[in-house]
Amino acid sequence: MKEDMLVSLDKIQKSYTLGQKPVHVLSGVNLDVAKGDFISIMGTSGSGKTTLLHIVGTLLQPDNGTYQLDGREIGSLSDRERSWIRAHWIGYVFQTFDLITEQDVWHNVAMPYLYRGETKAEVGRQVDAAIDVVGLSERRHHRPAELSGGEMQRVAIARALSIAPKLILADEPTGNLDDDNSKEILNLLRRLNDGGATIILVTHDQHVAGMTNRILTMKNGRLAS
Amino acid sequence: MLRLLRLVQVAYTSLISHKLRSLLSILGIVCGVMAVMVMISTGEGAKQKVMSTLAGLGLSNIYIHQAKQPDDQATVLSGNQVYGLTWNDIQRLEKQPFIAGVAGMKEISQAPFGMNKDITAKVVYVSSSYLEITGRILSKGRFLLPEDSYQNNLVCVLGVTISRQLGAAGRLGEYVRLGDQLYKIVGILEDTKRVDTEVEEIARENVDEMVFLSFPFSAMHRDDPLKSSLSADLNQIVVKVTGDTDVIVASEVIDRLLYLSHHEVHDYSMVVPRQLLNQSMKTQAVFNLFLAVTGGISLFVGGVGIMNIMLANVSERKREIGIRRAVGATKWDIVLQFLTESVLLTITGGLLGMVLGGAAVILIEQIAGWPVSVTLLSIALPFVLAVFAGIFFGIYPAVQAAHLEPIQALKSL
Ligand SMILES: Nc1ncnc2c1ncn2[C@@H]1O[C@H](COP(=O)(O)OP(=O)(O)OP(=O)(O)O)[C@@H](O)[C@H]1O
Ligand SMILES: [Mg+2]
Repeated sequence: MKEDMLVSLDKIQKSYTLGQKPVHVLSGVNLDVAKGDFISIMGTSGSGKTTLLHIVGTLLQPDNGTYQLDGREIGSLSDRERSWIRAHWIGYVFQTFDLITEQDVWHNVAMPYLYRGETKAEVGRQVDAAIDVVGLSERRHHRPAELSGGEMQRVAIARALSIAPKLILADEPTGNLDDDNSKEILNLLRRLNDGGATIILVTHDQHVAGMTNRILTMKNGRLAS
Repeated sequence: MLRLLRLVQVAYTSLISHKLRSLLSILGIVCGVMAVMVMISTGEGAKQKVMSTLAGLGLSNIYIHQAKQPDDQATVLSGNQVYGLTWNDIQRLEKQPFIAGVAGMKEISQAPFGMNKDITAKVVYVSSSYLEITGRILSKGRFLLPEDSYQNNLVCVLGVTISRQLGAAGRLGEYVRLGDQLYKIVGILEDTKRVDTEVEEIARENVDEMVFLSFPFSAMHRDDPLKSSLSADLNQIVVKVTGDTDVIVASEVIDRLLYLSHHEVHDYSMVVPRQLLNQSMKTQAVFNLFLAVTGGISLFVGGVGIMNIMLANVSERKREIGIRRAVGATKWDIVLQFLTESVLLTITGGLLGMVLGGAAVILIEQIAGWPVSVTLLSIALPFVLAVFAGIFFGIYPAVQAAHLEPIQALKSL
């Protein structure tokens, strides 16, 4: 059963110490996401959604519990190995469109390849294709400052999908966008999911969540359907 | 290789977006490299000048000059004593096994020279061995021979300046007037090409402006007891020691020998080019140390400037670091990125310093007239030091950047 799961979290705990007092953000999260699934996570602000996504994205280590990504035990990996996993398997889309302002669209999208050690010709094709998917071919030599919020978020998605990741993590990708732009981004994610990508989406928006296969809610440090 | 290229490209993009700041941060390195380059070039130039000057005098030679006679000592000398250098000294020296050759020289004080009053020549009697011992080179004709002296031949050898000043009358085979005698020109010395006066100061002569005559036979007549006890015979004796002799030790032996035979009167002084060279090498070593310290300090200060700017860069770009880590950069990738930036800064500073340093060196040579010598060392060393400073002072900020937790880095805005 578990073999088909891309993401498998078991009793994940995470707490931060603020001053002397520990704040338990995640207190035993269980989550299984099958390959090709598209799920959304909702919850009030500060409930720990981003924290969970960081753990799934191997950017943060849980205090307790086990995390398996495609059958691999993440907790036992070195920093270097986790970096490799991020560069090859995971596409991140952040809440705030995280682009590097000094570099143009093309180089922002190509950034993961910098850390994969692949040859230029391949990279060029993949990057061009990814920019094409989000419909920004015309703007590839523009700097982020010259783009609208929606366009920046599309660049961030292009960066995530350019490496053809096993897993796409999107942390409120539409949080800062108007309805039309939100719809466009969501359609884009839908198409990627149709193409086989597994997606975990964090959102506040009931309507957005409704377009995914499954809605989970963060509450009291646990996930519930 | 491709990886390095990309690293450089990324570093370049981020540096170029802060042009003014990057430029200001490398000023220290620019000045440091410039200073080191100028110092090495001028130091090397001065060293080479001294070297060639002293080598020109012959490093196995000892120059013995007659000292000026103090007025009060004239009375102390007893009857058969002569103040200064004599033929007896030459005879005594020639007997020493460690001496390969000896040549004497005597200035002729009043010798109205030629028809041209503008030409000032120093006319001297010299031994025929003078040319070989001092290593001077003849450009035309022959030097004075022993038989010129025995036969009282009226022949002379000219320094190149004199020959030139005389024009057509200064060629081989022409005659020049000295006092009331005519002397046939049998040889002309090669141009010593020394623009400076250091050689002359040390050896107290400028060969280019000299006219050489053979000692008259009577002056050399060593058996004549009267002759040797008259006035001082010689102004200068040049000694060449044998190849395997330590010239400095030899000079001490000769000093002792002369001192005793001159009845413990120091009526001579000695110049040992080898000794001067050793001294100047010691001075050079001190100068080099000074140079290393100064250069080190200026590059250190420059490096601290780089470190400062890189630390600011890191804290300003935490978010970028977080993004890069999130898309797969390892800690090492981050270290490399920031290290590349600081090295790129110092290389730029180094190149700029090299260009400005080169210009400064040329200016110094042209305007101040100092001798300079631009060697590979004077170019490469400051550059290598600059790059080293870039790595050394870039490591700490780079490691700091790498140790940021990706999440912490992402959260900072
Ligand atoms: N580094 C940290 N140190 C201390 N507390 C932290 C840290 N990071 C997060 N927290 C706390 O953990 C809790 C969960 O944060 P998280 O960012 O996961 O919430 P979220 O569900 O994503 O909220 P939002 O919907 O506002 O994005 C919050 O109370 C937050 O203050
Ligand atoms: Mg959040």
